[in-house]
Amino acid sequence: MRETLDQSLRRQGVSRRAFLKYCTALASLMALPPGMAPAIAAALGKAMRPSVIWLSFQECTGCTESLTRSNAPTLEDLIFNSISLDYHETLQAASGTAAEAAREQAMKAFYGKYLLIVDGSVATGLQGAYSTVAGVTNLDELKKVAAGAAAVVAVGSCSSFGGLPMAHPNPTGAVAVSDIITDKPVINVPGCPPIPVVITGVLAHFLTYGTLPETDLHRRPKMFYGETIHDRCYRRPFYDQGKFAHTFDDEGARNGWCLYELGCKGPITYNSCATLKWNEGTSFPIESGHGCLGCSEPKFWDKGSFYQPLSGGTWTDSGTLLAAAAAGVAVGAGAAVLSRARQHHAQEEK
Amino acid sequence: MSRLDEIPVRIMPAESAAGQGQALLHELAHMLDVLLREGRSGMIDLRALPLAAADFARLRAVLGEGEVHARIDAMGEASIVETGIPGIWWHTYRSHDGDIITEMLETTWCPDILNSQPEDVTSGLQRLREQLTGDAAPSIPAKEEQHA
Ligand code: SF4
Repeated sequence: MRETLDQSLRRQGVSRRAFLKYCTALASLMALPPGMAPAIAAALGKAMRPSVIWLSFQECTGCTESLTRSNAPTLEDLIFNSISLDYHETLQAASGTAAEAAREQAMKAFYGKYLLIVDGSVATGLQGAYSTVAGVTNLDELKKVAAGAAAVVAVGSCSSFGGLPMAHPNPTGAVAVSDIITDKPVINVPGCPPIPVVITGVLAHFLTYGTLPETDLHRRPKMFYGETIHDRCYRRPFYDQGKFAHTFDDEGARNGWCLYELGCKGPITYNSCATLKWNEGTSFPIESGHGCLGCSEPKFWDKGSFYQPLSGGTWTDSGTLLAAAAAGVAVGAGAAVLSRARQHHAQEEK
Repeated sequence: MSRLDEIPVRIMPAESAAGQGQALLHELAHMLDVLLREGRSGMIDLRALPLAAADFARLRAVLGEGEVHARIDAMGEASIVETGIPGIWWHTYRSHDGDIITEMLETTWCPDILNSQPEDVTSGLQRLREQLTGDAAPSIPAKEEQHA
């Protein structure tokens, strides 16, 4: 029988106060009020460390790289104290048949209970032969491992939406995990890569409550993808005032004005970069002077130039923005209307 | 040109256009009022807000530092400082590597995390009792020393 997290921490000499501090960080991650920390500590302390199997398909390992750079809480804290990572090709020490045997063993012992995490899209062309591990296609492997999973977490835009492998002309017939697995709860954590604390935040929610968090139309957790980058962007006042940078080295750029006209996709991109930020909370692309690429939205690779303003591009799924003049406050109003229209549309579709 | 600061592009405005710092100060004043009238504590997660460096600077300048500076060593360091406005506490929690993992402002009489936790007191008491039992026995090594 696996020990509870409380037992595991006590055995390691971790104080309750340290655990409370950790839970305060978790509350922050899950966008819960910090006052929830004691309740989280109580729930998490009693939780059995769940078995986690991580499969990597058509991917670049950027998602794992992102996670292993996570600082809040540290990967060690999260993975080694809170979950039992029984299979991860990049991180595990075992290799070859020993690694495959470990996965089979975990699947057998925790059938119906383990959490399956997938990064990378699934090749379906030539019956999946474009991508195989140990002679087994990703497609077959996914079906087999998902059959015994309690839930599936698709980490990154490739597993969530198909990502780069699915970009035109999609030579491998790449699809998202949710296109294949339709009989299990699947949650998408998109981003290229996703923000590390968003990955750990979703895992923390599963650990604390034993369920996946509430999701939006694209199966993304609302707590991290509930608002657009634009909604929380610190350059937003300039957007509202109609002050835009027109080139990367003009006066507007030097003054930190809005990057909308340089192609920023913030108004229609749902993610937490503007608040959680990157690199230990240092900054996010817009803070570094570059517009948002919209990497957490479906098919972002195929939506035209990253440097074309939304008002003139193929990102818009409504005529609203196209009608707005591409300058000044008029654009501000137009893009805001589009953003609201999308949210409204998404809610109606639900 | 070899250093970043030699590149003549100012990426962020020197002042936050958003003025979130000022809004937070108003919220803190309200929370302090609630603490005084109803005894209710409150917390603001600074990491959950789109704050610019200028907002942090404004908060630090207005709140200042008060009489209590506490440091906790527990899975990384945590500093809990009562600001110059009594009843407002600034929490900064760090990971083992020294990175900030949480930063909060709390309005309370005394932050709960500073209290000893019952679970820790229980295991501490157990350790103390074991120590005392262990101390009672060493008369034997003392005798051996006499023989030496
Ligand atoms: S368009 Fe981009 S840079 Fe401008 S306010 Fe919106 S998110 Fe920020």
